[in-house]
Amino acid sequence: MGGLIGFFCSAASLYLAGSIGYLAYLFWEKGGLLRSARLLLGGAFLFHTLFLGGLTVVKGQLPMTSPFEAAGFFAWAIVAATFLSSVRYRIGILGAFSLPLVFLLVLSASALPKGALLQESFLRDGYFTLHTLFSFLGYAAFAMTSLTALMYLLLERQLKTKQVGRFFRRLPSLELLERLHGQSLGLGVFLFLVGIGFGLIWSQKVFGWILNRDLKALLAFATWGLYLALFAARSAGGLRGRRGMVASILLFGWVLILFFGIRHSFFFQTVS
Amino acid sequence: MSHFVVVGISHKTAPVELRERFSVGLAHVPEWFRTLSEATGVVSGVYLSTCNRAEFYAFLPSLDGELTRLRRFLGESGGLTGSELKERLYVYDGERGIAHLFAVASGLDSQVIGESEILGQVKQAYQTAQEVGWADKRIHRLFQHSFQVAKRIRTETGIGRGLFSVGSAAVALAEKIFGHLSRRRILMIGAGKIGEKTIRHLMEAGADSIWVSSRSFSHAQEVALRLKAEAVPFDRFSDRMREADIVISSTASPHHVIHREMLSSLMRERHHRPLFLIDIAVPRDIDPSVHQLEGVYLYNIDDLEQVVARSRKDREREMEKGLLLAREEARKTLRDLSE
Repeated sequence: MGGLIGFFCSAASLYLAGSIGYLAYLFWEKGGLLRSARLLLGGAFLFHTLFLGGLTVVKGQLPMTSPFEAAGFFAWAIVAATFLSSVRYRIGILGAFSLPLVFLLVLSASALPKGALLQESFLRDGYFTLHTLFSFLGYAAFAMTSLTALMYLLLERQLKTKQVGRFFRRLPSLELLERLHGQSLGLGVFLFLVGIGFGLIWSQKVFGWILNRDLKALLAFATWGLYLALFAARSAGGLRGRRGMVASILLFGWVLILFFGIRHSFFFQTVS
Repeated sequence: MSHFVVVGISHKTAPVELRERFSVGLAHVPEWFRTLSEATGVVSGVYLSTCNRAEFYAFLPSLDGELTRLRRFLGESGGLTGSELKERLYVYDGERGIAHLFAVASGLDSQVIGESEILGQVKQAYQTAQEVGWADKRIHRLFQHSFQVAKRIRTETGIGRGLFSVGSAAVALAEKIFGHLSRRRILMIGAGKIGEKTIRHLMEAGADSIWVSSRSFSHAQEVALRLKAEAVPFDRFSDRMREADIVISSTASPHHVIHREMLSSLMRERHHRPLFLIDIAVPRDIDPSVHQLEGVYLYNIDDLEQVVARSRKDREREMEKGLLLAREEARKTLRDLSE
């Protein structure tokens, strides 16, 4: 991994520079700042992809077996989601909200254990790979729901306080944010469910039991259930607008607690 | 060696009743140039005549005789004499004159700072001069460059951004809530002129489904016909509010027409789908407390005017940057022209 760490550090530095560029654009509307921030984001994503790709080749499997790799992949998936959403919905400013989160994830990843906390043989399984892949893609979709929710609440506050300033101009419409929020939520619920499904199959295959004494899996189920409830409430016409957005942010806060507070302390120690 | 000069009158130096005397219609420009040439000896230049300014741009061999004759000719054509001529008619030459042209073309010198119509008017004035053979090589170079500088100023500063009227503020707010306005439904309660004007702004932005409701149904039908809208009886407007996205209210009612209780239950039925209310009536038609309801955004005429004023202040802050750019470009242009 030694040689590849250079790619990781380059990506982290460019994420930081990109975050600064995007935040500067948020306050000073200069086209040059946005273009520079996008370039930095593109460069960071390239280095990050090279790092993960290199690691995949070296290990012979997707690099999601250690807390360090998991957090790194999570950050990468958020950047990929940012790219897709920015292109699909033409939201140039999305990076200003996602990049600081990505940088913090990458920064915290470097402080997490770099070795696998489970036996390698348990993790060299196609079901485990699919479980982690879909779960993290689901997490990235949930991250998008919270980021769009944050943008929605900022814009909504400006409309309510009637403070129509420069910041106001850069944010997309409430309708677009509501749509992106709903689609990310639906996609996240689906991907996470698939991830849980593969996780259960893997658990049964490797340990011979499903959910037995596994707090992490139970909490993951509960998280998915909460997101499903939010999705169902939205689809039924309730929890739209402000309240739905607040719920999204709270839920993603819970996801982060689960990710850093439970996954990397309790889970790996208990199971291994 | 020739000197570039601008002689003119604008909204900054004269009221409209004076400015209008300098107006020359397109059809009369060739004749106006002939008369100018006979009176002053000047044979090239551009005459810009808009509702806010009348300016003549030219390269003169000296700043003595021809300029004095030019000033007198222009003053007399607008009926100005003596002290009025001195007070109202300005003369800028050299770098300052070129910077002024750049400021005019970019909208920096306009009454509504940053408006873009002026660039088209400057282009038209130049084209007219070209057609009558009054745009010589230097005029051609200078004006072509002025179009590029105007574009640069508008791109690099925020003078062209923002909102210029109450109608455009209503459109900008509606677009921030709903995105593109096509397929958005608008209900107009009361059929006043400002309401109709606001509707037209929203229609220009893509809104095409409009209902008009007024206490006088025949008046509602009349307005609906003009707007290609549907007239709705006044006692049925609340039914339409369930479906509407934007409501513009401008009745002459002395009391609120839309109350909090009414809207509170309506919003529940709408599952809190956003509703943008524009109250342009005085006294107000809509209970101001409805703005606190989730999904309701209420803006009255003062709120909209404040939005426009804030945008104007932003543009004014950008103006200084624009003027600096105009001066910097004028310096370079003067150097290029004298080479």
